[in-house]
Amino acid sequence: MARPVTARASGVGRRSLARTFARWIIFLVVGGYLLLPLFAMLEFSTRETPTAMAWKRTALGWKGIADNPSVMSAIVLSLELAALTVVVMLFLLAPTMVWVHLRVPKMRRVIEFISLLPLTIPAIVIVVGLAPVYSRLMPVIGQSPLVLTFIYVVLVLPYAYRSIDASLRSIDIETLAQAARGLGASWLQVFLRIVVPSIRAGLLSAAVLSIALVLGEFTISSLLVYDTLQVIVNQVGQDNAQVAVAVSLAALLFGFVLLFIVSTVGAGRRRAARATAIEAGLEEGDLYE
Amino acid sequence: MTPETDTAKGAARADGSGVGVQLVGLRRSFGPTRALDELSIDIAPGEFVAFLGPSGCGKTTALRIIAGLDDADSGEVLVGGKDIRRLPANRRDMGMVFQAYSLFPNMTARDNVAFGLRMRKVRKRARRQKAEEVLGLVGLAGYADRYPSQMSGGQQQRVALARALAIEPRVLLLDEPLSALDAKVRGELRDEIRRIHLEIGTTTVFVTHDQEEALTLADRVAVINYGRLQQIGPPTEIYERPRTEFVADFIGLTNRLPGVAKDGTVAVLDTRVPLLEGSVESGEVTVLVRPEAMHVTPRDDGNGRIAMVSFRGSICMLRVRLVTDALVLVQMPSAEATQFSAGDPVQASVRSVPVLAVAPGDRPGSRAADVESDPSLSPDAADAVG
Amino acid sequence: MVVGAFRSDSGRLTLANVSTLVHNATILNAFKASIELSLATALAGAVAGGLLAWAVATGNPRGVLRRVVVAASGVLAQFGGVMLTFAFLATYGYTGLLTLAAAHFFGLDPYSSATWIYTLFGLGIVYTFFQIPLMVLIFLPALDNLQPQWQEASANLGGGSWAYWRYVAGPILAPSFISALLLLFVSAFSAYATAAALLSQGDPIVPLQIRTFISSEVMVGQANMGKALALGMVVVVAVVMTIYALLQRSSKWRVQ
Repeated sequence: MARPVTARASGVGRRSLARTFARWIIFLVVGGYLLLPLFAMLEFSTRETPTAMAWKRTALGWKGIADNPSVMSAIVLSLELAALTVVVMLFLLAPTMVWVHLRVPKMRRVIEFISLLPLTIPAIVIVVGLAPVYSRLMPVIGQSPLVLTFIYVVLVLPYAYRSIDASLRSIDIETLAQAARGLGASWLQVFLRIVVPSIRAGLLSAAVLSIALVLGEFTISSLLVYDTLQVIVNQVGQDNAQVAVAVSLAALLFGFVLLFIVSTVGAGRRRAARATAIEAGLEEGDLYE
Repeated sequence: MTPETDTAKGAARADGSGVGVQLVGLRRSFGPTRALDELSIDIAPGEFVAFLGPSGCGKTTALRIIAGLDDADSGEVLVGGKDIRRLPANRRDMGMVFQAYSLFPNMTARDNVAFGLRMRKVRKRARRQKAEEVLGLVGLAGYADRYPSQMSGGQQQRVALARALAIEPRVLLLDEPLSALDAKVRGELRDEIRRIHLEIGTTTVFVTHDQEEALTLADRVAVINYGRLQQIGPPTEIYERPRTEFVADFIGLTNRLPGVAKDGTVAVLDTRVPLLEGSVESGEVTVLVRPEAMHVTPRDDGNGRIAMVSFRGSICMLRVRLVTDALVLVQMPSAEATQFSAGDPVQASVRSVPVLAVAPGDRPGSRAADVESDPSLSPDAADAVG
Repeated sequence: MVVGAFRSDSGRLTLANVSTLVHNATILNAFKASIELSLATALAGAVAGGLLAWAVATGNPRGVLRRVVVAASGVLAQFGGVMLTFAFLATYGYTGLLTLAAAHFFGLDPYSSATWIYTLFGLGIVYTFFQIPLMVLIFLPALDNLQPQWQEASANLGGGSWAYWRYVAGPILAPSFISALLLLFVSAFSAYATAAALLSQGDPIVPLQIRTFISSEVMVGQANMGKALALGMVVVVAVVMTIYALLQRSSKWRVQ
């Protein structure tokens, strides 16, 4: 009675075919445009003859990272700065945002405005504004490059704010907190046992974005003359391009892995949500996607 | 829950201008999931048919295939006798109302309704006029200039209905249009849909998992499970003469009582009642009996005791614990039920209406929607109470 | 800083710095170049990034491809311009992969006529390395908000692909697209690291001029010029952000 249809003939089939084609063209062209430089970095950093095409490869550029003391100390400094920034940011921002969310929701807009402000001010303008303050404070707070932390905390504020805010919005912490308070929990317990675990994904992505930003920061440290990773990479690049390119590629890959891990954690949470949806009753519309 | 017998329904077709729709042996798989399995349904011109079934049973897939938004793996869709498989969705002249959020947010109600006419190159003045006329039909005469975000969920679905009707579709397809609305609005819009159908007589397919909607709206109800047609017929037939265990369980409330079948009848609770078509005809069986087909009388040496009486307006639901320890639900007019209270010894029996007998055992992979949505009525819940 | 912009070196209040800003041809040209560069790269980034975001959004929302693209976009958009400059040089530089490949396989020399890489044009190309990914990050949520029902409803009512994009998806996405364009503009206008790493000398754009003013003590009597320039940047950004805010508020409808 039913005749088998060999090819999907209706408009649905044609449309999705054209769409798939367009998608892959875009992936190839735009994705290729963005990926080609990364591949070129790999090629460049392992080149034996710097000025001509050749298949011969060398690991000298990569070995140069470890052999170069200024690069190594810059990596250490930037990682220290990243860690400090994350710690200060989490200790300042997370409790404040939770407190505002729970107790003074009217302040939410103010906090949002303050947090997003650094996003609209160019970093170089911040340097211009801060330079005099900095030179005056220098004798008081000392010469350590770790004082950059104070600026970096401000710099990462918008990104960290948005990550944490998104995860605070996705759960009903008011109700959770009320329930916990009703069962006799103190505010500290509510924060540590209820809120922090529920916004784990947001805190993680705030931390990772902060790390990426600090490791990638150049403008402020170079103009205030601190030898962070980017400043040293830029400097090394003037006389040993291969080492500089190798460090850059390594840092980019490190950043990519960090962000990808965050997206996997996030995806895990989404999967859980979907599993719940499936238990609640799968609809064909969902299957169709 | 008993469907009203409505003689006007089905009889009062405006002009019979609709077209017939035939689904012939539709199959559709999503990976390992078989959404449709040889689904064949014949819909007469001007008819209002409801596809009823649990979530994931394939009813929405069937609707999407009719609309051209999805393709069947095999099988045919005939509209007015013509195979429309090769016709893309935008040339099928079918008006569809989606579950929710389908209005174009950047257009006013008027522009939403006029969109289909615009696609048909109707002049601006004419389509504005038509849009306003159809908005009036769905009771939203003053709302033409509102954007979707300025309207309630019920109003948005009315606009969606108007938008589907404005193109004077050959077939009107409604995909759970009421499920996102709250109870009161749902009831209002349900009545509205029925009124409009009686007025314009377009062939209509209505997909729902809500039996009340299906039974009150449709000329015929097609019960679907696991992509297969379980039974199709007028609401009263589906309710009173279920053909399969799934249909009996899914629609309304059902008591499961042990019985012995022989010669087209079955002995259950000391009564002998006729069997419905599709029953297991001999041996030990489970008999599916509606609460309103049960009957109790006070008797000191009866076969059970009243466990609980719950008042539900004009009717009462009695839970009776039989001497076998089984719980049964009995429905009776409240006036009659006043004589009973918990603990009274009673004799429960079955009225002499035809019943469905199935192989003994637990319900296999089926569910009774009402019991789920109203735990207080569930015999299982009664255990905890009594 | 704002105060500094109106002070002379001796500390007296003056409009001299600001008036130099408006009258000095080099500075005016730098602002003009900065704005043009930002506009061009914002447009290129918005178009290419918008397409990439669309290609990602139409795929599996939980797929690996999407996560790879999003994570890579995050790195490229936020991980700093110095490294992107090196990536650019390794590809298109004098001894970059593509330059060598062009010479090796086709006997071409892209640098025969001009050292285009160290010009504004070259800078623009590097900027697209972070503008495109930034667009993906900003625009993806808007695309995710497009309900599949809208496309289906449009088809159901007789609209083809063109009608859907012209009357439904286009108008729905337009505000987000323009907002994203403005943000890309600000991002390019504020960028310093990329330009500083690529152009160690010369200062064709405003951030590099500020560098000259703060890092050199050569031009005595102009210490506050840096502040005046910074103020100029803030004004431009403020104007753009005001347009952005007005745009967010102006639309009569909103996506639920």
